[in-house]
Amino acid sequence: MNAARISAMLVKEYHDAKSNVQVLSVVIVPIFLAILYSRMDGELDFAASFVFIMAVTFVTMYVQALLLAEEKEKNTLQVLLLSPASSADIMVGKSIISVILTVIVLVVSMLIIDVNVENPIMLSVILLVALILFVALGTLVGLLSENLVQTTVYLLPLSFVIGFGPMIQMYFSEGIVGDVLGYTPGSFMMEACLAAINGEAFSAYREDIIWLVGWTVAALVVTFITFKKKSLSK
Amino acid sequence: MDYALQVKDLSKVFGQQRALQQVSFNVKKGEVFGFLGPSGSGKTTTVKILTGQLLQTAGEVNILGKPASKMKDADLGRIGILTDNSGLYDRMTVQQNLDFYAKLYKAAAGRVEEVLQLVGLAEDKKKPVKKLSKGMKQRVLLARAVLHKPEVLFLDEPTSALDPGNVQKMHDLLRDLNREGTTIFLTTHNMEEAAQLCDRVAFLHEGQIREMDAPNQLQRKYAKNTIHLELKNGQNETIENNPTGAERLYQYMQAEEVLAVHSDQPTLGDIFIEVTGRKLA
Repeated sequence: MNAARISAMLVKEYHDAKSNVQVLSVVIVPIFLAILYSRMDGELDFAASFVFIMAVTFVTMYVQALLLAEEKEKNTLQVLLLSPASSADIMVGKSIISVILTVIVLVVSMLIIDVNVENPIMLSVILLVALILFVALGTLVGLLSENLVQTTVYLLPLSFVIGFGPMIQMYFSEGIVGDVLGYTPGSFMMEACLAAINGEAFSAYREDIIWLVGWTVAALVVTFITFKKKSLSK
Repeated sequence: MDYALQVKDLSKVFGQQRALQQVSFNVKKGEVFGFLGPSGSGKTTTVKILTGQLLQTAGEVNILGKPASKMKDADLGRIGILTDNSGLYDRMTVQQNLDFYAKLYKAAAGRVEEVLQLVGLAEDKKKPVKKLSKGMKQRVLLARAVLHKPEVLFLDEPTSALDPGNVQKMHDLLRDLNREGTTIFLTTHNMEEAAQLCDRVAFLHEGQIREMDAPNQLQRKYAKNTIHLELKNGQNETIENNPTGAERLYQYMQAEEVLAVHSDQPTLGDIFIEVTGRKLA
């Protein structure tokens, strides 16, 4: 990988994203939810965990998918792949902007909700794994979509199941819906974040983290295979 | 001989369809080579194979001495590509677009300003691409394709959507680049463009090269041995270029009836029709 080319990609993404209305609008969603929850009486640990899931779903996955699909729609991705930049330079450079935006949204949300985190290191690890998972999912959606409209069609149900899954699960805790939703990455992330915020023993959420890492590995493998199959690699 | 491109017995099959059949040609370094044919004749498929975007079914394709399918990232820095569907980042300015590609290609400092001058867009560099006309966008695309001073420049229908004024500007730019040593591989269905720009042309029809030579050589080869007369009485006459025709011309001239004399030199379009039996579209 070449640092200068990755940095060029990042600067390009910044210039392009700062006037991209779609990107700016999805960034607002988790912050809006954080403001809303901070004014409601309730459990702050749950509110914070839910906003974290929203941040990785709406910011990381959405932004990653939108930026990639737009490159495909405007035929700029092919131009990039015909440049001396490697596939890794291009994909890493493209991912950094969605990661940076997510980190900003996470920090701002935490400041707004003002939740006391008992185990910040473990929470950071969980969020890092989630970031990688949702970058991979966003890349996958971007690769599978031919244009921006198709991206939205794929993203809406996916973000609904992942983002709102833990909430829906609360109302369907028994039965097949609850069982299925219990295995979505959002559910594992919710459990792990809650435990880290409350400073529970690692053994209490070890299984959730293993599942989350499993999802991440699976998403990375599927995304890599799709990348190869779509003939986008060099 | 120093070749930029060497293609031998190139074939490409898509399912049941044979897109290219036994295509062979060489392009010398510094040459402008025109690859002419109607839509669907296999021009774009050839460019995709030459630039390593597509793998051939059979045959050998070398670009700057290396197989096209084995080009490394560094090799891609030696070629430039401009296709009719190449995109730009339209929310970014002209300069931001070119600065980005200059960094990717590690172009020399000051090169962006140089190409902006070259394509006549120095005054418009702060404009977002989305506010540019089609002709200006095409010039930005050309600027991007030549930022890194490529040794070989692939142009796929570069003037297909331009008005005559912008076509002329684009041709001037391409001549300048060629004078600086860039080998140009031009695919087009515009015969006039090919006649003006190319040192040699190849006619591609149904995936096969039907004819290949310098435009003036082809015009000589397919020239009809006739002379066209425009007479003062408004009539036209075609006479043979032989003693009988000379006698006829002499008679018209003696009677002071000749308004103009034209040779019947065929255009590349005429030759294409003669060779392939169909018009370009």
